[in-house]
Amino acid sequence: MLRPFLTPVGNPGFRFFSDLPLSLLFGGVLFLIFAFSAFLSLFWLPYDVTHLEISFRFQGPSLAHWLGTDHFGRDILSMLISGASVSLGVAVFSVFIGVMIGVPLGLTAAARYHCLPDEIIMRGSDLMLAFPSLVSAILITAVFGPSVLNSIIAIGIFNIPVFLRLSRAKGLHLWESGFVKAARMCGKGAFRISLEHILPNIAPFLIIQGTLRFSLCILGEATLSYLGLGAHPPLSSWGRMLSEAQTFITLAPHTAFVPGITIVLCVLSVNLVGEGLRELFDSQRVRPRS
Amino acid sequence: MLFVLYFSYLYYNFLMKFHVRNSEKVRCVPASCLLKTFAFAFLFFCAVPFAQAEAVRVPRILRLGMVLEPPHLDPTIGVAGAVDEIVHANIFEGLTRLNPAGEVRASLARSWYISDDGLEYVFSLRRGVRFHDGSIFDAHDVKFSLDRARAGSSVNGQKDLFSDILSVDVIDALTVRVRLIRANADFLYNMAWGNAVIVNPKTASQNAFHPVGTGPFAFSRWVRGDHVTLVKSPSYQGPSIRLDRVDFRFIPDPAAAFSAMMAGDLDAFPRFPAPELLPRFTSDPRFSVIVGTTEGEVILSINNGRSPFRDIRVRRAIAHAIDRRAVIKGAVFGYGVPIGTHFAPHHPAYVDLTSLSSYDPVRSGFLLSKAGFSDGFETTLILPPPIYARRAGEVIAAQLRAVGIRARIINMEWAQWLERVFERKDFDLTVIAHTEAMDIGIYARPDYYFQYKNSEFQKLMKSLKEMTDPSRRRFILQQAQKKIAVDYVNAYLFQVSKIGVSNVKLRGLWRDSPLQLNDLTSVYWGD
Repeated sequence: MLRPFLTPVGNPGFRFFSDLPLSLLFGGVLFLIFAFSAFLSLFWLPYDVTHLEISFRFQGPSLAHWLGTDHFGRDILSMLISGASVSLGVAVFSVFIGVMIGVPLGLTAAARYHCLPDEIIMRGSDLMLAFPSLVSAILITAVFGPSVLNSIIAIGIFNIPVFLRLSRAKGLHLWESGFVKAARMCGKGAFRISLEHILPNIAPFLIIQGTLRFSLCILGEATLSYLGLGAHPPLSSWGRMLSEAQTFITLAPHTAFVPGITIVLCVLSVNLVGEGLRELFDSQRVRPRS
Repeated sequence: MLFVLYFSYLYYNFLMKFHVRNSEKVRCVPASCLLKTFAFAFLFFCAVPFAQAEAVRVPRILRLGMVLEPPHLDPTIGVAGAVDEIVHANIFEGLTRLNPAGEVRASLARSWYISDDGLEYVFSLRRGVRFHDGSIFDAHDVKFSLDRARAGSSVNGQKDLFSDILSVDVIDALTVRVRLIRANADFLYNMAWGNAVIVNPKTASQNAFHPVGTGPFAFSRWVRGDHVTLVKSPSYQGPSIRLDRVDFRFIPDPAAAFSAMMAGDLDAFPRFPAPELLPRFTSDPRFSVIVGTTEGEVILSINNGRSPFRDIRVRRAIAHAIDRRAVIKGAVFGYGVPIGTHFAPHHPAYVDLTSLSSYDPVRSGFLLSKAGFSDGFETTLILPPPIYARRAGEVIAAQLRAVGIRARIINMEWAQWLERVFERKDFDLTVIAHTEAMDIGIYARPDYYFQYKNSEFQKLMKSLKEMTDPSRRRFILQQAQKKIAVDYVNAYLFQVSKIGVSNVKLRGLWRDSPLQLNDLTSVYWGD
């Protein structure tokens, strides 16, 4: 049976808030703000980002426009909020692709250690790792045309080998442990062992790796859209805001600083969450359980 | 020289300090004497070359900035405008040339005689002209160049310029006769284009990477991705050239171009890519900003061969939905002139037809509903990479959305744009600048990418070609402008301004751009 993997083992007096690592608390709150604004943008925005008011361009921060306006007179705060849904959406789905394809392959490779499937899967992953990921992502989006879907795919497929190798390495370790051997002696097949014993025990590592990859994917999306290979106008995106603001940096510095700082804060918050989760799992001394 | 001595003195002091520190340890007096002697000898030899360099006249160098690096340097192959910006009028010369006002002037041809029926041109050529490789220029080179450009196998980017030539004959070493199939009033003008320059038969095949011409500057070297250097040609006999060396530097990024100008790494940027940064230059006394005209009409091209754009009411609705003032402000920060037809406003035959397609969203909506699109429709807007097109596209898409036309923006690279839009005509709407001079004739080509097929207009262009009388020509040109404006073939947006930024001491740069070139023959450093 699958048991919740977060059951405190060595720390029975665990209280939720006081024992949470500070980085997790801080990063989590920051990230929730981003996630909430991404969610909010699907229903409501302070201003319409497809409406251009060119006579109101390059306004500094004011009560009407909290973060000022850009070169077309659009509200920068609204663009950031709607850009959050693109950035976080791309990151979520590209990590999802990595997990959904990488983890099953990694578990298969671990279960068939040093047999033909393992060799095929691992050489395939070596092949993918041999490509510089960002350059290949640029190639993919340039060939298939820039769009949100293509950037998800381009970023996502380079998450596959990461999760694949992680789940194989941790899985191999577990396959040697006593409880797996016991399960095998009881006649459990490789598929059920992988699903019921290996997967729950590697889940904490996958979660930590997932958050780290998540922040890289946000950066990847920003890079692609900075190069004009990401989301198309009128969809707003942080990377494109940054590249468009480049020539205005002496004219209206806020148009460049605001999206830049937003990207930094978002990546920072995700990294803090990852760091905090690792601390949390370590402090609870997560052990393999049968 | 004084500076050199002063720095030598400082350097000597520095060396002595170092020596004293060391000598305290070693306490060796002769060594210190030796060091002194060496230091003096070293400084003396250092100072000598500087002193000599000062005696020599400082070379007069011009460093020009360009956005695009050309793929090669031969103006007679291909269509890349960046080639002409470097070589035309500087390395290569044609039979005729344009002056800054766009009028035809003599160049390699000293004078010419035109027969009464306009079918025969006899050019007498300049005497004593030499190519940069030392060979003498004569009538055979003219025959070779023109025959090469109009041959069936020619890869000239503007073969239309030569399509009326029947034959080119050498009469004597300095006289050439050109016979035309039909009278062509633009013939002398056509010969001033970069595609019609005279090349040396011996070196013509190597012009792509080592151009050899007759112009005031000779090719020196090309550092790929960085710059092309031209040096003053010793064999040039035209008006005196007051520059010794010209560097064309390639800086594609507008922000980098701005910093290069500000840091003094460039002396001029004749086509500055970022109009939004101009206020910084105008307020700086080190620079002068020259705003002139170009032949570039920016238009929203409409695929006339595809529904729903076959319907003139839809095209007219698009034209009325666009607010040109906002487009000009958003795309080029006000540095553009609104146009109502495909014609340059500085041309004497220009008619202002902007009122035919004034900004009127209500009327636009009315026209759409009459055409059966009361709820609007979905379409695509393809944008090539130049920043004016990307920005104008976003503004236009927002304006079209206001009347119900939902245009999805697709950004494309140049190669993709040329292949898909220009060659395969697979597009709905696109924004592009047509930079060739007097190019209203493209509307007479039924296979041109916007697919305007109108026999009436084609007849107009045919009669224009045969007409030599200036006032009749002007009348036909005006008729043609009106025709494409009332047919709403494309939505005509604005004429690009040429925004040049230069060092305030630099004189003689052209304000306007009647062709895509940087004529440096009259450029010099003032005081």
